Amino acid sequence: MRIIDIHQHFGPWPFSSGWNIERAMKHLKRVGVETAVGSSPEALCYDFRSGNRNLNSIVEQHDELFGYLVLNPNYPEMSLEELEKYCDNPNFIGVKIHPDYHGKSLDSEAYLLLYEQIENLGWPVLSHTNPGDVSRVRTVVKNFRNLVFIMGHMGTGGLIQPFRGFKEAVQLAQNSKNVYLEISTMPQTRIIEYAVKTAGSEKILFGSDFILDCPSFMYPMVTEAKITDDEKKNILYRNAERLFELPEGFQ
Amino acid sequence: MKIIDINTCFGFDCIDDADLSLETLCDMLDRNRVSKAFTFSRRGIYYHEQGNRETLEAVKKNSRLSPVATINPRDYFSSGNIIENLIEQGFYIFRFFPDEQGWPIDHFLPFTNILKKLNQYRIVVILPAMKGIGKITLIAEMMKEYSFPVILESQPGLAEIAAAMEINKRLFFGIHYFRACMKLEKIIEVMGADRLIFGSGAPVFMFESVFNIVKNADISEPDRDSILHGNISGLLEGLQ
Repeated sequence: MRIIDIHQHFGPWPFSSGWNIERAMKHLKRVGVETAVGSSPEALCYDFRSGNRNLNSIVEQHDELFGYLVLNPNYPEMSLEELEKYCDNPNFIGVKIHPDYHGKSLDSEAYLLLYEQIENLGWPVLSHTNPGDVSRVRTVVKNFRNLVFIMGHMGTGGLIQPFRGFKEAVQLAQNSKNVYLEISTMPQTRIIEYAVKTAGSEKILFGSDFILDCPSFMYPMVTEAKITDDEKKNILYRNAERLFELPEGFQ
Repeated sequence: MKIIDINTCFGFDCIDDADLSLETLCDMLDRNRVSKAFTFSRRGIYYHEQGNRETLEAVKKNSRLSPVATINPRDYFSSGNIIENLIEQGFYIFRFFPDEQGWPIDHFLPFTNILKKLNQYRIVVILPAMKGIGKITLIAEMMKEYSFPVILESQPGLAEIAAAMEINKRLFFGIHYFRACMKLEKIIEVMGADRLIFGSGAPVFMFESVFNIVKNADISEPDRDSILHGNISGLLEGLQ
């Protein structure tokens, strides 16, 4: 089955020494990822402008890759300038935010200012989300009803506590038309089954957190889950095609 | 492809309603044709006596399973004969859970007493992934005193793992947390594959997912075989 992976990172992390674009592309091909959307680790951990610039150079050399523009709420004006600079660049199709790295809650005033512009642009936002973020996301989507908000790691915070917070996130996705769930680091198929049953497969997107995690770790969570083939296709690629406005079967 | 899984368990999860039953574990192992899996009852994380009993019962029912003993140092008195009894019952792998059991790995006399006692036997110790940079360093240095091998199920900070492997030749690493892409390739490039051991974490984690990390790694077939069964077989030779 086709895979569009909407949660990846292109570039080296300060705590990882395995990054190499050729090897990364080879690995993605080997594990069957057709298209990937990723952000720059440098933009998350250090200077978002140079990170975005470097990501742009990576993405423009690979048709299979698209970028998230990282915005830093500590620099609202510069962030708005970044949006302005890249909004017509076809390499970028969404915004990535990381409230942990940037030390600001996702419903803080600085973020709200950015959401307004992102909503106007029509790009989806992928945010790292932790247990406890559900009420913050609820505030955001109440204020920005046309903003597509994707909760990274289904509200669990990722590898550290993969079982905490997913139910609350799923319930929010069920009750809010513009909240979506990205599944990276979920360790059991039953979590996907619960999400499909509760929020619907149209609300769930495949992501792996590559290179911090592997798409082939996440793939069986969908393919082995007790859900229909149609629901699997929604999660693995159809929802991403729709939300990121990728042409169907564009490859 | 022969697979030996060093890291499985069964039992109950008090935080989440996950299905961690023995049946679920055995289904996963059957489905993936695992030759042998080392396992423990999760009850043993908290109540080692009952937990180890459950582990032995499970192993009796399924010949593919081998037992891993758990000891809670907070309930260990060196005057007793817990370890002797466990060895007599056929346990030769011992696993500890400092985070769940709430004791400091570097500063807890009951644990030191356990290690000293275990050092009299030919056994293997498994220590889990503990949170915090520097834990691998701590364990590598601490365990130099003992003659038994230690398998560390640790989150992979590659530089720390490589440095730990250099100073402690009896330190092995479970690959469960080498989920970050290309980290397995990188550590093999730097340190070789001889001290990497396959452990899935099933059924807490899905077996197929963790297996895919090894299956899809860009490594040689001999290295893959070493990780999946060769290294652990060598380590356990003569202990069973």
